[in-house]
Amino acid sequence: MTATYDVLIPPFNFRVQTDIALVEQNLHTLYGQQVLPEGTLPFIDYHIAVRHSTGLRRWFRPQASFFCDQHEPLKPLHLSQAFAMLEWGMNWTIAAHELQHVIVHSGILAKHNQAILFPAPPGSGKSTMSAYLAFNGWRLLSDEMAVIDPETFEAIPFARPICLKNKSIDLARSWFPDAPFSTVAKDTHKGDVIHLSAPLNEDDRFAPARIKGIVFPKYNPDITDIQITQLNQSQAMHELADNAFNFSLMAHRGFKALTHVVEQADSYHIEYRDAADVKAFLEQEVLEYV
Amino acid sequence: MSQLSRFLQAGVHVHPFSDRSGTVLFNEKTTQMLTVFFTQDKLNQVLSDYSQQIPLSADELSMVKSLIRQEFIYQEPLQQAS
Repeated sequence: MTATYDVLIPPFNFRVQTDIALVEQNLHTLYGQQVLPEGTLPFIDYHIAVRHSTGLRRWFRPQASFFCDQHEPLKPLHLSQAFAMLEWGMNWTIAAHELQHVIVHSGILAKHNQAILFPAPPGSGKSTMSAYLAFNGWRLLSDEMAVIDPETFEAIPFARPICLKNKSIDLARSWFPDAPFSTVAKDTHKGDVIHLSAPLNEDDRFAPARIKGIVFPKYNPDITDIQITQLNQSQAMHELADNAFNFSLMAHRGFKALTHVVEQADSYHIEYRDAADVKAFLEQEVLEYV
Repeated sequence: MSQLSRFLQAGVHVHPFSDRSGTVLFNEKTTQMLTVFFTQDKLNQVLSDYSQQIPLSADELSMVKSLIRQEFIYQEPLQQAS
């Protein structure tokens, strides 16, 4: 049986269709009251679906397929990975289509309405650090995609579950035993994967934040103290642009937005072993207290 | 900027960083972006020197060639000016 929901994930409205019970269950667990009956939202930005693959793969080693409108941009995955596929499909959808906002491949969290961008490649510990901050007084704007308004240069929340991998799964479960976790998607191309919903105050769901810092993090288990290197604006721009999905397609607006972000933010490389050290550094050295 | 603009191709935007660490150029036609670790004044000076065939350092020459190759600046005005 196929279920269809409107899912409110500001600044976008999704219509999600699925015939896979695992997807429906995890959608409700992680998005809670953001999952609404079909037709509730006044407009839909993106129509997406995760369905059983057809033909032989419906029954033999069953697979799930992701669709954006009528297109199938991703290769099918094992049925047990269907919810992770929905999340990755949402990422693909925004990265491939969004031209109203500058999209940066980056975690982004805020405190006192001052946001820090964390652009980083896979394996840098970004998501684990984001989870730690999100459950310790910081507001998650996004674990994966920073959405920047090209007119105001502010970060807009696009808060979705945090994607944790492999060793981080047990760590996060020990840190936040009562938090809403998805089922585990085993043996994906990223290893074992789980999604974790971060706490979110209703009042903050739509609240933008000024970007105060750009921090390029790298997890290093072999160091004792956090190591911090400040970047000049040219270095920061060079690295930030490498992580920006669509600024070149937005032409001058995208370029102007990125340069403005770099001008208004302090930028750093950090190597860390303990996420608590990152939190202390940000709160003591980067945020402004009025 | 006005001096620098005589070298730029149409559709090229320039942003000199306020910390004077460098200048970033963006060509909206090719969607190429290039960060050079020269201030805007220094960049203008290097391009002027190149156009007048004043010898440049290896780094400066390399940067000018990159700017030409990546279609941020016109080669012809530089040659005409020389």
